[in-house]
Amino acid sequence: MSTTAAGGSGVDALCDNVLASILARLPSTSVLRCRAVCRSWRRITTARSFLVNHVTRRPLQILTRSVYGYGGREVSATPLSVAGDAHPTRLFHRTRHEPSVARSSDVLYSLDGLLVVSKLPGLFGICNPSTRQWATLPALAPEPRPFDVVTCGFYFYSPHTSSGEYRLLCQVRHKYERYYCIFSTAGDALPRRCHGRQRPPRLTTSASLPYSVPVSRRGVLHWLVHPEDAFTGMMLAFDTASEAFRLMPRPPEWAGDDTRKRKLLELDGELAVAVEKGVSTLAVWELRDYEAEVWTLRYRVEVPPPSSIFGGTTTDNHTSVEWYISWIFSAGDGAILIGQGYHGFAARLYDLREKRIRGEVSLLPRGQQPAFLVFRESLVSHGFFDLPPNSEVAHIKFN
Amino acid sequence: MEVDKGKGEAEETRKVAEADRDTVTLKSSDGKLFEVSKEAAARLSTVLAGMIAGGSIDDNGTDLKQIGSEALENVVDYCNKHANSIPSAALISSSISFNTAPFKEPEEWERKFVDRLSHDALFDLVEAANFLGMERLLDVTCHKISEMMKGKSPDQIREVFNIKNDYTKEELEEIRQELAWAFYDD
Repeated sequence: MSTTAAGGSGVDALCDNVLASILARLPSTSVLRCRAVCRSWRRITTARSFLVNHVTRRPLQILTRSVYGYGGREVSATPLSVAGDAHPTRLFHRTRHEPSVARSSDVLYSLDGLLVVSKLPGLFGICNPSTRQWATLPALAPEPRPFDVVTCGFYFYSPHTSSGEYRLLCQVRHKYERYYCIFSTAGDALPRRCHGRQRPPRLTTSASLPYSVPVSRRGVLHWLVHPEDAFTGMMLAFDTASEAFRLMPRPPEWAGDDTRKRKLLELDGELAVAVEKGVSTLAVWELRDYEAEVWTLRYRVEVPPPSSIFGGTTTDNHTSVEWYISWIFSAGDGAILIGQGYHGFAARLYDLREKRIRGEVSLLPRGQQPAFLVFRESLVSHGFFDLPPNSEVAHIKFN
Repeated sequence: MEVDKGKGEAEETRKVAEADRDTVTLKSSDGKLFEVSKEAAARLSTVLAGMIAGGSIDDNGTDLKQIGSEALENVVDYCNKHANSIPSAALISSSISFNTAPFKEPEEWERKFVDRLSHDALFDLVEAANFLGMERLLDVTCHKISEMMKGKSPDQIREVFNIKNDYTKEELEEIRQELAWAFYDD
């Protein structure tokens, strides 16, 4: 009987955790397909621990939107790989082209594999493109009209480790009244007023995105770009537990008034601001002592502009273009992902500790505009997606 | 004759320097003996590292009853090859750069190492790697097997891996309808 141990046992003989470890390396679509192979594979690939592990093995992707044909819009994700085979995969597109839904396929936030999409003014949807599930957040009461809704941030609120809900923070204007409002994925909870601050600041009509995508650190959201940044010279913070707002100092180094030249990010668990100086210098300030609000200069590095953005295929002369950095994300382990471009786009991984570029990839073909959001596939199930997967909802269609 | 002589010499060496040998002897479920560098074994396998540190290594062959000789031979082969590859090369990987997932792509030699194995040998090796706590070898073998599943339909996967379909027709139809899109596009 020693021959059985020596070989010939097949895939059936693999223990569950080895099989789970193999299946966790597959792309989301393959994992879903594997659920149809046999019962034990379905059991393994629907376990929560498997799904959580699967997410960590998914590559980071950059979301892009593009315009095709006459008024068509689509949202795609491009994995960041240095192999040179990074092609965008379409996640969904708009099926109706009326002006009323013009911005509807815009992705506002990306978190834990979920995307927040504006469906109509004041009406928001959450979708998981990996499972093709949709949910519409409860709408604001339509009266009294008119009202404007400006989104501030999307976050996961979890008072207990076992449960939690996703929340969308918005600033609302009803006639002459302004207030912050919270939409939730929990049950049928209606949008409610957030009492952490009585009256949000007035919005200037010119700013299309008054609040930048916030950076979260230990349950507090932070904005570098917010309606009051220009005249207060401060960052805005929102405690998701107490729902209190407060202004916080920003780093002492501040490259003029150009908001494009500084980016807020989370770096190895701490809040950091990367400030662009001149053409190629990047100063990274860290809020190491968060409570005392003391900023420390952590790195000052030279990051030369991208060299191979267009893959040598363009004849345009871009030498005079200033390569301002569009986004910076933390890639973990002392590395940051820098996105910059003009007509084309480059994503580069810069190692702050070793002070060198670890990889560069020309990311987007023409016609694709980065949404400045990163995305990672997730098959983790959520209670608020109570409907079965549906490829088409309202005027948005998956893939 | 040559082989026997080699074994005899190994026996001699064992007696001379029992305490500070730089190899360990592993015994497969079917009683075959394999020598592997102590340093490589301790570095690549958490289980062997624990046994070496705890002094539970048997110089006449540490019993690994769960591992057949073919799989153990591959394990030892992997350890030796790993020890011979430039250590720094294993740490610097280009493809990790844009993927924050902990997995580093297999090196060229690792790819070749698993590519030459039959399905069954691969499955035995992945189990052995799991049993011995060889994280890197587990990564490389799991990666290889997952590559064999990528882009395949459930029917193809069942065929390739010889898996019995234990769903009823109705159940399968239900799954197919729920995830219809996943079966058509890739």
